[in-house]
Amino acid sequence: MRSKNLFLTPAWARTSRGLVLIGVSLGLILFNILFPQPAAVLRSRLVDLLAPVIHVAAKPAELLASAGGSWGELVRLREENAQLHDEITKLKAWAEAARQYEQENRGLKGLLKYKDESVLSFITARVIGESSGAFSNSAIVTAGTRDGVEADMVALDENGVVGRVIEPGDWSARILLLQDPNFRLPVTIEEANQHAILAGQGRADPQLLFVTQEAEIKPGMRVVTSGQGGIFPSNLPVGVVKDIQDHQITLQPFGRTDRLDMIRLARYQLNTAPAPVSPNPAPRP
Amino acid sequence: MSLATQIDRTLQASLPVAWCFILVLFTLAPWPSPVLHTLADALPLMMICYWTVQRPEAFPMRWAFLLGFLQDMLSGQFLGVTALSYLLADFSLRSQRNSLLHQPFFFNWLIYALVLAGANILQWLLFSLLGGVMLDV
Repeated sequence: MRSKNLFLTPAWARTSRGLVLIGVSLGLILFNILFPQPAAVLRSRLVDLLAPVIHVAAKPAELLASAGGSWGELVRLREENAQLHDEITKLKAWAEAARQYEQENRGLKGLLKYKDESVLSFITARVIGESSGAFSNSAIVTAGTRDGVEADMVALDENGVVGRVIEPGDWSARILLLQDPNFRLPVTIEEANQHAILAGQGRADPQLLFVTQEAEIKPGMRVVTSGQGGIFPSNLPVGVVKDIQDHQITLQPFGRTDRLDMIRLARYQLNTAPAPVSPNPAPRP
Repeated sequence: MSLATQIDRTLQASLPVAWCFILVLFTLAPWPSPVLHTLADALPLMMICYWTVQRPEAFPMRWAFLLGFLQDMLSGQFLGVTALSYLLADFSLRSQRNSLLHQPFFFNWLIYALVLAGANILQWLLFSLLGGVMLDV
């Protein structure tokens, strides 16, 4: 019997093969530590190659999501309708206040010769793969360097920041999501006017670290990017303070933390140095 | 041997690996809930456990390593971590195969749960060590 003979591999041969493969695995870990850049290139090449297959494999999950979504949608519609009526009333008051602030802001910017941190380019991409676990959280999108994607582009959904590009391939790119344990982002807690570092926590909510005056922080305070670090511009919406317990401040992100569908990858013109304010600007040559 | 027989045998031989490959791809799919994500993450190892015990001749040890390596590459994790955990799971089950065969269904599930827990603890230890912080589970 062929199968029986094959199964009867001597124990020593099985052990030696196993040890060789364990050695190769440890070698790969060491390779990743010593040469992170080539490892990233390898990963992005493979993702490029398998992107169409990943896209097809995502179909059952997409079908399930759409089926579940349409059922849940019917149930939620009634509740949402009532909530929306309330929100419209509140938003009308906010819109009026915003118009006044906009006018005031325009005047102040003019006075300060403020240089705007504007979007240089953006690409909308579809998410075809998500790795969301306790140890890593990333997404694969169907846009790569051939579409203009670059490393460190900001990834946003319709509500706020969701991550940044870490491994752009030719046809696809990997986004490090803000829940990833390796994700760090300098942020500002707006109402308390305090800087902090957002740190991803895997499946748990992201935390705000290095807050100097914790007593001033209250749940519900809005958190935006601070613009420090040279990757993200300032004032992009990130989330709200969710909870403060045992000196741990957790954040509820505005952006979706799972079931990402379409995201926007943006490159910004950053203000690395504030525009000098000169009372008598020199004439152009 | 006729061509049809050859095709049939090739398909039969590649079935275990093909299933595992599909399940590795499913770990990346955008499932509509975190529970489904967790379940999808556990599926490749479940399949590896099954084939290692039931048809080891059709699922050589190198496939456990290669599937783990593929999962590391696609999920953007440290290369070698999942490969090592799958390999150790395969290695330990293969060495205990005689005592695992012909056991009741629930006993097999219990063994699978233990192997999965062991693989997750190993991954947690390695990721914590490599990241320099103790990660939350």
